[in-house]
Amino acid sequence: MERAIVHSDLTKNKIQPELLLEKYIELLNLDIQKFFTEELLEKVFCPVSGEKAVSRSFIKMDMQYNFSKTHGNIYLSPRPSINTLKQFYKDSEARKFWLKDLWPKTQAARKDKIILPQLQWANGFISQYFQKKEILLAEYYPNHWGYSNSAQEVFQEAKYFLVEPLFDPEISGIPLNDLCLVENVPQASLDAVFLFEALDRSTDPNELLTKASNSLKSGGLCFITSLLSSGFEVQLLGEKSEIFVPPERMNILSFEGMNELIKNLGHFEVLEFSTPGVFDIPNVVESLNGLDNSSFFEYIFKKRQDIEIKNSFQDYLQMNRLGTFARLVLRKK
Amino acid sequence: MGRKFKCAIIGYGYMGEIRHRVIDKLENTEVTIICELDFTKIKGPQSFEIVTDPTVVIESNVDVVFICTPNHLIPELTVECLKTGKHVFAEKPPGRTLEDIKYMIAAEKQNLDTKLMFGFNHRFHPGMMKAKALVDSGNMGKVIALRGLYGKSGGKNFSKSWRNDINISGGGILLDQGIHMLDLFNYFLGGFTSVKSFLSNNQWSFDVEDNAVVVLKNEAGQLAMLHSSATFWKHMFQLDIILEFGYLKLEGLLSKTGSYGRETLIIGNRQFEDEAEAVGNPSEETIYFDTDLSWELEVKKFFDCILNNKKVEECNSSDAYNAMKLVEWSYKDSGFSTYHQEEI
Repeated sequence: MERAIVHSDLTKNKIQPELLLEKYIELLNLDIQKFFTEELLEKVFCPVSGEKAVSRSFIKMDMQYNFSKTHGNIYLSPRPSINTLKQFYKDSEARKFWLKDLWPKTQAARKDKIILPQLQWANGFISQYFQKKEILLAEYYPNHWGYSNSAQEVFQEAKYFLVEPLFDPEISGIPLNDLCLVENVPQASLDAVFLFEALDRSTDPNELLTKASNSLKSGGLCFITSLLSSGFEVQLLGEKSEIFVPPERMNILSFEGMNELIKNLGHFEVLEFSTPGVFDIPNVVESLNGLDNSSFFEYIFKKRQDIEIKNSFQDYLQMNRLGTFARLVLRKK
Repeated sequence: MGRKFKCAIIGYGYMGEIRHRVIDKLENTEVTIICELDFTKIKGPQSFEIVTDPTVVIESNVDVVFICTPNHLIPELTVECLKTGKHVFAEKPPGRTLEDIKYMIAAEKQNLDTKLMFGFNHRFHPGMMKAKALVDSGNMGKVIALRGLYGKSGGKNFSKSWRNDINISGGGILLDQGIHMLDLFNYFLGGFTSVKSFLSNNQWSFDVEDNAVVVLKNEAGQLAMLHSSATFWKHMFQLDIILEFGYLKLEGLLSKTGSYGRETLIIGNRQFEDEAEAVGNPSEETIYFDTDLSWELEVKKFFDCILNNKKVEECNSSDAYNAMKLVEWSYKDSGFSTYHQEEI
């Protein structure tokens, strides 16, 4: 199995300008009241194991996050059904704002620093495992069209489908032929699938991974990006972390939870499991004030003023899969 | 697989034991004979015949023979096994000289029903496979140059090793270990038309070299440089691949003892002055590999060729010839060894 350490100059303000983000959160708060009324939400247990026991809970934007006892998976419960969620992504003012205002202003940085590197990462594996270049690719549950628009630059001879896009196709201008419903993806038809933070926003990650797997040919690849509850930022900041944005972050699995999800399904060999994110330390530094027992991190990140400490700590987190952002490559057996 | 392949191993040193373990792991293969002079090397339950005379293997009904002997025995054993219709997997180096590999190729051509493969397992290391895929994808442009370091720590019993007896080994560190790197140079570039080399035995004063520096160039002007050494005082493997739009750096090799360090692949993308990053210090991605399946992969590939009657495409006799040619050429250019005088 592989693990990667990635150095990047990506900074948060390049992709999440503060004012725009504030506006987005403000709209999201209103949308949550509107779309996720009590009668439309369903109580669920741990989305990986079904475990009922919860070690703790907290409320964020009027929605409840639970921590599963055994693996520390964090999940929304009660949560919307898939149809309620689709309705939200289609009609929410917050999502429209994200797509029409936030996305265009951050598109260039996102493309350069996130989207193209991730597609090239995938292409490295695709080149290794497939001789042919005319391959069929699909991205499940995308909430924007950034990857799809850039895919042509990386996979020149591939066909790239969007499965159940969680946005209004009319805004994107994507040809309808490139979109499809999950039920309509033929079994064992795809060479590779992308779940870019799709497990995070899925109402049922087990079901999503199963569907993705069923659509893959034997030997096909499944690329996953996701946030992890076992990551440094979440472990240290807990509910103070800004990653808890419902309903987008429906499930935040731990390293162990993600492994369990894959193992339980039994369809895949894990080729890579890395946590190559670069935001753990800046996010922690930003929110250190007022945290209990944070004096050590105050000291090393603030008082010492030594960039090498931050860099080597970031490397340590990545090296040991302790970062909050994860990427995985699975190969169908 | 419908049938079970009967396998024999001739020579049960470090490599013979590894081959045995791999054969045992495969579904439709079994070791039925081991040929080894020192019985004490063979541990564990023995569901196979143990012999000391390789003729027993040659005259047996095994399907496949793994030849894991010192270099001087490889050519004759390979040829004899091929002549009796056996598929042969031989360790590297493929004999001691270019003449040896020519001899084996001639036998291969006369026995077209057999498969012949050589143990250039470095091609199957996870970092190498990843690097090859990245180079082949074309996204990083053409290869400009290769730079390889491959060396050993020496060790307490180094002076007593058969590898330092020229009559057995045919050469020193360049032939023993450097040939892996030369094979990789051929794998990533190939077509070398010029070779310059300097060899030395200054440290150990054996008949064979303990250090070799080899510089190569092909017709396209692509360069490669190797330092193969028995005096790095640590086990070391490093291959840099310099491309038009970036670079790849392979360091360490997954091995049984872990002595070559963690296997890593660093991927760097070219960044020029007009770009925001610090000039000369581009952002890198470092990939760590946890599992070495190289032994399994190469042997699986060999059996796949046998079972499906496919041509051996990788680590075949041409690859062995091309790697050996660079070794021979290096010996000749350096004037170090009178053992290798063949015209290239």
